[in-house]
Amino acid sequence: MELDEAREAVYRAGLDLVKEGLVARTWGNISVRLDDYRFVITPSGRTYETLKPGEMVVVKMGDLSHEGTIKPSSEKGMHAAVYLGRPEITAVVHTHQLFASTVAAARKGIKGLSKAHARVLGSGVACAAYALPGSKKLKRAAATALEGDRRAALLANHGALCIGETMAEAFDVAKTLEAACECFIAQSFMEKYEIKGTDLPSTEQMHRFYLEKEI
Amino acid sequence: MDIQTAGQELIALSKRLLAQGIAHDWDGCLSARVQNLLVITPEDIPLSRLTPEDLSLVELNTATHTRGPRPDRRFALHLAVYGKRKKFNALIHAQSLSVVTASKKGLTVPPLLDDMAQLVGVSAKVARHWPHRGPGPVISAMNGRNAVLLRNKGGLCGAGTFEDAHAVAQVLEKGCKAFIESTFLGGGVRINRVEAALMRLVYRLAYSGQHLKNR
Repeated sequence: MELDEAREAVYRAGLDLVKEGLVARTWGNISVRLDDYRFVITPSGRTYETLKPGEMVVVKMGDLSHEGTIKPSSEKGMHAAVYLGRPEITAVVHTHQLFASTVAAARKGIKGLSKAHARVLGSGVACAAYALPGSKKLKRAAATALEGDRRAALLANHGALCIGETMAEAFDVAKTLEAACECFIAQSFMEKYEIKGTDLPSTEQMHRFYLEKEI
Repeated sequence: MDIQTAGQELIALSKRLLAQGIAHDWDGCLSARVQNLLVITPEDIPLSRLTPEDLSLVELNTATHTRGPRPDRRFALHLAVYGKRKKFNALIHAQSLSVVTASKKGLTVPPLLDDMAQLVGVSAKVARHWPHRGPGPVISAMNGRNAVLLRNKGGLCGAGTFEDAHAVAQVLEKGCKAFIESTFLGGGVRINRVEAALMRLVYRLAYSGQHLKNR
């Protein structure tokens, strides 16, 4: 991929993720593989709406050094680990989406994916072991959670990591992960409180139950 | 910042808070500190219909209403918080679903997500005795934090700018959602207090200014 094309793809993906509510403000980060040795990633601490395509940062996978004066996201190591371990992957999206973050707060993986969700996400969604943001431990834990054919991982107490062979696929993985986590929470709620029926409860219904039942 | 600019920002943010479900139209309330004045939403006009002429001005030192319609009934609370928290220049009442549920439940919300630790603080406490014991319980529960839960009434979020107060409100909603809904998954795993305090310190000292420096 050409540099200008990669920068434009990362820039556009940032705006799209904000529009979808999958990231907000300065949270999360997005990257695209440039070649076998480098990727382009969003800068550290900048809001997506104020960025320009030319401000996306080129980072070397090997030593994590970057080109230019703008600092890359502090999660660059996690992105590099994905590109080095999964040669077919060309786009990585780290989101702070709501339902996925809730499951990540419980440090659970998602079991029993529906066929529709499994087609996009792979055989399952694991939760990477807890580690401080930006740390080498988080980088290793995320790479482990993405082993096999998995397209998404939850990051304990932090958020989610979604990958794809294209940016469109990574974006689709993020949206599907959010839907799968929403279902997982509602199904877990029904199992825990032995609620019968086929219709999943809404978030509002679960909150009302939470207040009434003295959980 | 002058009164006119603060008013324009307040009205623009109030529309975003409505669209995002963070504020209620008839009960939403936000304010700004501009030098010695409090600029605050009025009591009897919904946020969706606000114009700059509808904003109320109150002197911070004397609590004298100097201009505009009757200020929101919570103006005394805002005066007290600004009096105590010198770095706050913006306050927002958060009335999103999970924040309201958490405020009704009356439990302290621990940091289950790292951005909650960074932006809100090591927990979100409940001011149980507000309003009948005045602003004291709110100020006490908000000590060292950027947000507090008001028993049964949602949350109060404060920061140096409207943008930052908005971010606090978004993160408080996410943190409360994770706290409530992770109970259906067996319970959230909290970030230990030392790491939460460390994350907040690093965020405040280094990361929060990145959007200005990293260009």
